[in-house]
Amino acid sequence: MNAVNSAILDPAVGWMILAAFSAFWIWLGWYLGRRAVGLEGFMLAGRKVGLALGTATAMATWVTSNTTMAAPQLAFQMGIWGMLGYSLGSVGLLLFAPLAQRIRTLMPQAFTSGDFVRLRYGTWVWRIFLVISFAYALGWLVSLGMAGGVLIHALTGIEYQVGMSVILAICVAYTMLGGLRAVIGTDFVQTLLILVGIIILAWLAIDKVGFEPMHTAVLKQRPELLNLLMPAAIMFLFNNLLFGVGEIFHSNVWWSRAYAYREGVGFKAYFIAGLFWTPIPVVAGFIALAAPALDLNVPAADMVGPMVAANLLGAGGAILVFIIVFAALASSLDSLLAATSDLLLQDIYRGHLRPRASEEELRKAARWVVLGLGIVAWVLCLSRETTGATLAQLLHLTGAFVASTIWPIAAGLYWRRTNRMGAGLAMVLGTTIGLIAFNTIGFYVAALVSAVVSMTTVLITTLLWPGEYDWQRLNEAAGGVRT
Amino acid sequence: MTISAGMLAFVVSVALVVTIVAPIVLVVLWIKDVRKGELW
Repeated sequence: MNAVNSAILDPAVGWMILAAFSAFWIWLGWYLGRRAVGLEGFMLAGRKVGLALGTATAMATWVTSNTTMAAPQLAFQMGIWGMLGYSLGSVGLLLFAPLAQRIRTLMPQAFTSGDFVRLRYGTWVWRIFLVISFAYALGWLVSLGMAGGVLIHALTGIEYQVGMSVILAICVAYTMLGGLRAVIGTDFVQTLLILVGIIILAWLAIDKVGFEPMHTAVLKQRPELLNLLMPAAIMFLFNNLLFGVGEIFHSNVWWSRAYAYREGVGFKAYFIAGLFWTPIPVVAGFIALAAPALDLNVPAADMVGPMVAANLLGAGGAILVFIIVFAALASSLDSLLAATSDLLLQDIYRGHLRPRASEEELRKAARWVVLGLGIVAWVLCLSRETTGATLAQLLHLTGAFVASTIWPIAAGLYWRRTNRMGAGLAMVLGTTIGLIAFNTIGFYVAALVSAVVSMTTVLITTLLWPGEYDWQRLNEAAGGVRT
Repeated sequence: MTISAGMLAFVVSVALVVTIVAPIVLVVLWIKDVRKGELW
């Protein structure tokens, strides 16, 4: 199907919204970033982020284009469990709340998740962890860039390459200008936009269609969507839960925020963000159940959300969806750009290439690393060959990588006895066997198998060869000094 | 085992109420942080 002919919005309207929001985000990023002083100011917003901004940035980053677009799609494909299963993505945020507090207490001077793994488990485990982290970060970055291009094209008819380039360029520009301050500040506004947008859409769906007609139509045309014992959806639920926990526990996106929050804020910010994130996939997703009642012919499941919105609100609904998706994409892309750049700067540039680099040198390099990463992502996104099924597979594939880090991270933060051999083995074995399960059983077990293998390895090695780690070593050396 | 219309309405309504409360709480927290000088 030609998306230009079937696009919900006129391309001119799409360009006007893109231009207006692009200018606003870049101005806001520049404005907020003016006061970012030194390397800590740029990378970690001065380590003084308060509760309001801290909560909003955790919520906005976890609300990706997937949440706003895939929640209706999942509701349309997997019904009630599709929405509820997606909601369990919040478990990762809730479980990370105590970890964030502990990370800030144990390592008040650290910069990245790599700092923790290097100091806790040594150089080789650190390198294994970096491979996993970069594989995941690049996969997520490319999938977000591609999702941006695909969604802008589907909603407005603007060419994929143009839409993808614009959204990447905007996020790179304001992240370069203001670092984490710009990312967190824009996240607050983007969170409010996303929440208000999905509330309006849900309200209209209830008001104009109603639960009873919606339920009757679904029961008549797609009864399986209301089935509470749909097996595929229940498997999706568990895999999604573990995938989410793995993503959050290992990724520097979440660690950098734990370091950036003011002391005492980490636990509350992640906990409140988790609570408020939980209902979002339900509210964003259930509108898809209105499709049968509205008698909509949905050509592709991923377009069901915008189609219902356009049917309920006309062009206004399509504009609203576009703004929600644009805000959701930008809030995740900027966070990922900033956190992955931090990892490249601290763990590769400083950690491997120039250990004696001065703060001034690192401060200058930080902007160029953001730009370089943006260019790499742009090049990888240029070809659309990997979109669609392959892109989804790529995302599920990373589940095997990230789930293997859950236990080494959690046990490493709380158990003195967990040792470096166990942590390294857990990541290697978990990833390898998770990938085998991905290829031999299916995508829905990759994260599950990886997490179970990793857990077993950590538990056995901790019991058989207990170490005796001194927590003080994390605090003393976390500023980047090699020991 | 099929979910009833009433149950669907209950689940979605609870989710919607929490989502409506979220931006209000965020703005209140923002005002409190600004007043205490702890926004950044």
